[in-house]
This record gives sequence, structure tokens and C-alpha cells, in this order.
Amino acid sequence: MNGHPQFDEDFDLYALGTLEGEEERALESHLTGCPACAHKLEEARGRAARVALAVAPEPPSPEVWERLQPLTPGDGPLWRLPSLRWFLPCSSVVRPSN
Amino acid sequence: MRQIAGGDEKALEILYGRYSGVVYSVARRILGDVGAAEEVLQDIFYQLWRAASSFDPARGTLAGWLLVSARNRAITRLRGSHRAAFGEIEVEAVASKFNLESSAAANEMMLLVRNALATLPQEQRQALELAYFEGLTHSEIAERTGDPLGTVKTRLRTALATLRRAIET
Repeated sequence: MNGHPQFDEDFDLYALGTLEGEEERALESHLTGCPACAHKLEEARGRAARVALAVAPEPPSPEVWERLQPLTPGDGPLWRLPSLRWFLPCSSVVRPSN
Repeated sequence: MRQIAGGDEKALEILYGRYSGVVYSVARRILGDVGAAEEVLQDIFYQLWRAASSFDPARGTLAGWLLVSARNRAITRLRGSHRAAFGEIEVEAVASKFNLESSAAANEMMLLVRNALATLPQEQRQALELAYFEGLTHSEIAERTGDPLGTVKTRLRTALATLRRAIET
């Protein structure tokens, strides 16, 4: 892609992950050298975020918040959170001494 | 966010109360599984707690970041490692002006989006939902629906243009 994408929808499609192949590569290549288009992509991500609001919100189980409680300082070790173990860099895992 | 960056657990609890429903619901819609959606929710708020100091409100609202993160994490999980790089989007900037800080603002935005989607012809809405909630590419949507690739592209572009006009007015 030599010039800017012609349509705003190009950024929306890229933000959604819908472009593929040469179309995706061409836009990616252009974005690396064009701050104006990079900003348009940020705006497209903002638009894409709103589509999520089409889903009727339901409250999660109270247990999710309870599982997050050990994150608060002094309340417990972070490694108790099973689904988060993969996310923690090694340096941040602090195990109790006993 | 400054309070969270400073370790204020109450501030995190307030944000969790405000946004956990929408984050969880979009993850559940994508994943179709309560437990997996709860893990996405948990991971996102854990990341928020740890990275609050790097959040720049000048570049977009927290609501935008949370919703993009929810969708991307859920899609990445749904699709496994096939498009793992897709999840990297969540560390990039999301420019969004909308906020959901009051229930009135949230309800207004939800109504706007739902009305906009409801006005789309069925085939355009289907293409958009397959792209958004299943993370399918153009050719994957064409394969799923049995429609020509060019038709799918046109439907998606038209749907996105309609949506953009509706939510940015």
C-alpha cells in the first residue's frame, strides 16, 4: 500500500482482525510509517469496543471478586490465583516463607 | 486510575463494580462458557491492578480499553494459538471518547449500539457478529456462510460504515 487507506472501514476491519493476507500486510506496513493512520486505527479500536455493548450485561459470580482479593497487598500470595500463574513474570511471584 | 496505581484497593473495587458486568458478558458471549469468561474477567482486572500506572487517560477511556481487552483475550482464547498475535492488540492504544462511568451514560451507549445493529440487514449483522464475536476473517466468514468472498467484504464494510455513522453522531 503506497498511500493512505481510502476508507475508514479499512481501519475498522483491521481493528477487528478481519483483514488477512496481502490486505493485512499492506495496511500493517503502512501503519508503521504513518502516525496519522496509526491514530485512525486507535479510533477504530475505540469504535470496535462499543460493539461489545450490544451484549446485555450480566453480573459475574461474586466468587470472581473473591478470587481477586489475594491481589491486595498483605492479603495473600498472588500465586494462589490458578488462572493467573501463567501471567506472572517469575520476578513477581513471591511465596510465603512458611 | 491514579488511586489504583497507588495501591488503593477500594478504587479497584469501585471500578470492578462498574465494569465487571460488561467485561464478563462480552467474554461469555464469545466463549460460551461461564468459567472461561470468569477467568478472562479475573485476568483483565489483575492486569489493570498491576499496570494502572501506565494507563494514559489522554489516549482513551478506561471503558474502551477494558472492552477491547475483553474481546481480544476471549477471541485469543477461543481460537487458541492460531492467531495468537491478535491478543497483542490489547497493549496498544485504544482511542475512545465514550465512558460508562454512570449507569445513564452506559444505558445510553448500549441503546445506541443495539439500535444501530438492529437497523442492519440480517446478512450484514451476521457478518459483523461472526467477525466480532468469533474473530473470523473475511475468508472464514465466507466459508461459514457459503457466500462469495467479495459479497462478505461488501457486507462487512457497509455494516461498519453504518455503525460508525450511528455511534459517532
